[in-house]
Amino acid sequence: MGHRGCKLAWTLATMLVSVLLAGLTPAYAIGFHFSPLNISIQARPGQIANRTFNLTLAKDAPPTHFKAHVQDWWRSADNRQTFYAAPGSIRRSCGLWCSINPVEATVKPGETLTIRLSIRVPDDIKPGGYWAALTVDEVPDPLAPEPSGIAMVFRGSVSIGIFIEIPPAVRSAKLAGIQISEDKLLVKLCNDGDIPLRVNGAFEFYRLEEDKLVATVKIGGEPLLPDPINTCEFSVALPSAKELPSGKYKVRAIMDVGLDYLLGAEKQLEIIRANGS
Amino acid sequence: MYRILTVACAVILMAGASLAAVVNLPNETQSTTFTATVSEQANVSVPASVAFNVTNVSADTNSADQSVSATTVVLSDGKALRVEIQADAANFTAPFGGTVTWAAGDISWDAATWTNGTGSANALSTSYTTVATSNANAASLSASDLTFTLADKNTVDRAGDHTLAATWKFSSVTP
Repeated sequence: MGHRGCKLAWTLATMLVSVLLAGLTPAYAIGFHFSPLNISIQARPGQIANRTFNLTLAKDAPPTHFKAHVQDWWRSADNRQTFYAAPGSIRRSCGLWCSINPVEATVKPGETLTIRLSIRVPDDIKPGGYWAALTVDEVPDPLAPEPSGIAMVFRGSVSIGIFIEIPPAVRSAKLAGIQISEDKLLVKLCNDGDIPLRVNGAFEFYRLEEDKLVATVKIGGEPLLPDPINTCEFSVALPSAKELPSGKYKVRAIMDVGLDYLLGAEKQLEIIRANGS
Repeated sequence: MYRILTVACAVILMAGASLAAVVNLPNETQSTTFTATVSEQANVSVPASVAFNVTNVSADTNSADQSVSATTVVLSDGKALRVEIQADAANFTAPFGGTVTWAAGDISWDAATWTNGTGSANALSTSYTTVATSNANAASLSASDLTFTLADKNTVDRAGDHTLAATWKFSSVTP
């Protein structure tokens, strides 16, 4: 092959690699900023409250159509999944009290979509906690080019919590269990009150023979709902095998769910690491 | 004449000085308080698509590493941000002529290495399933090595475009 042939082959190979790389390189087409992340209100029956939600599209994003709606939501008992449903699906929904405007809009790059949320608390509502979510979904562009090959095509969505407390609400929770599963520590909590609670906590590991604190792990910022599933299992990764090798430990759980007191439990557990360390 | 005037001025000044007194204003330390009200907020970015280069339908196929990030996260004390994903349909859409394609549940992902959070290895479904949860009060949450895996399926009978739409969800539904 002559010099010209080599050059042509090199050019074609470079072009092929470029095309392949372009196909494999992930595109970051979905990007936005939003605020707030939650709306929490203490209200009286009959009260009206107004709030706004803002979503700003990234400056390098194409014009994007968004659709907003109010939904009920709850978590699975293992805390791995979140379910969203039409307002009024759960007993303590405030979804039907909420109205939003606008419901949908196209947002240009760098522009902000402002959604006004109006909440009207019914006159005859009983005390307790009520909740829903304001969801804003990206609507697929029907004119966008179809992806080629075997692929997943993504769109973005954001949900913010709407929490309404009608005093006097009953805040109550209890620790229902602690266990080790593979490389995770699981703690089960039960909300036996009538208002969602925020769970924060810490787990302290003491070597059984020495009663000496060897590791602490924290869990934080998780919701614990009273309905429709009032028991939830929170998991936290165990510290590394170097920090917490196989052996028998006393685990002390200290949970803060926003009550006047902390929830605590102590249990002896055996940690068996896969490599036997 | 000048001497008389000088003496008179001196007398006036001395009298003025002796009559002068410190007058306290009602509030000598007038101050202004500047208050910035900061809302909870986050800036999020996810890939627009993930491709699987399936050269052997009898073996699992991994995607390239994917980056997901939430930056400038500002939360109320003790709260966390969660990233979830949901398939918009139960199955991929097969190309023309194809009768068998992958189910949403054939997609799974690893726990990845998350900064300021914990990843969860899970499989895709038509409900929102956790990909990662930030630490409480984290200012950011990110991973650049999130890998999706498409399970083997040797009954797939057509080459071409098999596609599935899915939705990334960012939420902090914590009271």
